[in-house]
Amino acid sequence: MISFENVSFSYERNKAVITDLSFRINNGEAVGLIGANGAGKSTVMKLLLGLLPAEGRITVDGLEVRKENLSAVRRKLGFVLQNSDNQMFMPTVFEDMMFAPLNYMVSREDAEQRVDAVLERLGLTELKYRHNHKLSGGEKRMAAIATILAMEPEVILMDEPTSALDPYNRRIVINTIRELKQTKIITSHDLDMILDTCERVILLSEGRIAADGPAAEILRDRSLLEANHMELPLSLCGR
Amino acid sequence: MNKMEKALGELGAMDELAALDSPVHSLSAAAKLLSTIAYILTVMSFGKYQLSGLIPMLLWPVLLFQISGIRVRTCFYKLRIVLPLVMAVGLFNPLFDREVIVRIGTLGVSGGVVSMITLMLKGVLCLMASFLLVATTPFDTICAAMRQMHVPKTLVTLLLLTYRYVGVMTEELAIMTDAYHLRAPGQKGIHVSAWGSFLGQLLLRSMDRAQELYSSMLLRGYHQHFHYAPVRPFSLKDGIYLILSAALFITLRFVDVSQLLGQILVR
Repeated sequence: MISFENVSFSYERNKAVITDLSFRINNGEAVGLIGANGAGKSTVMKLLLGLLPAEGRITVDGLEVRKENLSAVRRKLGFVLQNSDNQMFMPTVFEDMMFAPLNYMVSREDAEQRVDAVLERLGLTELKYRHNHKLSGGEKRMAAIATILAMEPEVILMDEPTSALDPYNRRIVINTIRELKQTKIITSHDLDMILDTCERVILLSEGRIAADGPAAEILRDRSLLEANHMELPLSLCGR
Repeated sequence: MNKMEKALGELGAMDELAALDSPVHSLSAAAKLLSTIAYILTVMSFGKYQLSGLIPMLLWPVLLFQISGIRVRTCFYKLRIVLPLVMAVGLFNPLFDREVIVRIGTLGVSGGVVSMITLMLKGVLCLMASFLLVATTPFDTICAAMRQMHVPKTLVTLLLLTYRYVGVMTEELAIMTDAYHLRAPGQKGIHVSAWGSFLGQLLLRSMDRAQELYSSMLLRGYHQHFHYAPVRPFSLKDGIYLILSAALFITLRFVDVSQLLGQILVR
């Protein structure tokens, strides 16, 4: 379980980005974190990952996110970055996927088995020895997800997983996300994707929670969305 | 595709060359690294007038090019930026050292000219040997071999990360160059007035990206220790390769093969 208790954060003094944020996410939940630009979505992710120091208390399965626990906390969390190029820094997909398991002292044989299993599950076996710089945008995004799944994290965090993808690759990524059994936290402006993949939505506005509830309810609330600089998902527009 | 993107492609192409399959590629990285170091040291040990002794040192890279299947043209193409710099090292020697030390027919060749050619050849040979090492061995494996040879961890990690971050910086440069040229049509290069802000922006953007990459590494359990590709244990084949290389270097260093051949031919 993930818990934020009265969490605040500011990059500059007297300019809070996150203010007194409290929420809980239960194991197995798929939560969409939405909001306008600058609402604090990415900051919430970074606070959870311990990349930024938070005021207040953040816990992952009872472990508080703080310096002493960072290694244990991060082992539970897998973060798929918005820009896959920033995530894939090894020469090949295989080496990139081996990076995390080896760092977590999984033996090379077991790590290779994990990698093979993940690639097969995602239908990416043919990418195994491909050079990262030769992958297309869609392949790169799927490979980035694969590198995280090879970690076997309990929680998967995704930052704009469908951005800059064509409709075909977007659908592949959405279907993949839907099939993941782990707890998922997804930030995105692609509300149709959030509707497709998340049962719960937390709407952030200026670092505070503007709404928290079932995705189907919040994403149908035109006035709430418009008040927060957002629009109804296209699939609910009835055009 | 702009110049930077081409450069990025070439960097990737080096990884692909290293992933080829040949008897040289299959040798252990440590053996190749050791032989390359020994070769460079041997080349550097030649005196500035020992041109005739140095020329046969070409034999080793030529053999490796043949066996590895890598084209010499590829090597010179990849090194086209560095080669002129290396060649320029001894350019002024003929001006300072004018004493004639060799005569070809009636033509007197000064010590400066001989030492200039020797220096140039030394540079080219060392670059060729380094290229062959990188073109036949994945960079991670070279780093793993360095660790095996007890080169300090910090130094090896620094080398590996530099290799990775060069790509990041080049990508940023490619994006910025494209953006610049789209708003400065017909202009060649970047105008001097924009150099300061261009470099500043490049630095900031590269730092941002490097920070994100580093975060991504931290989030996947990185703790200042790279798990390099497993290094293949030293085999008999590697031993034979090292012994043969060493024997060749020693022979070429102490026996002036060019002179010997000349004497045989003159007789």
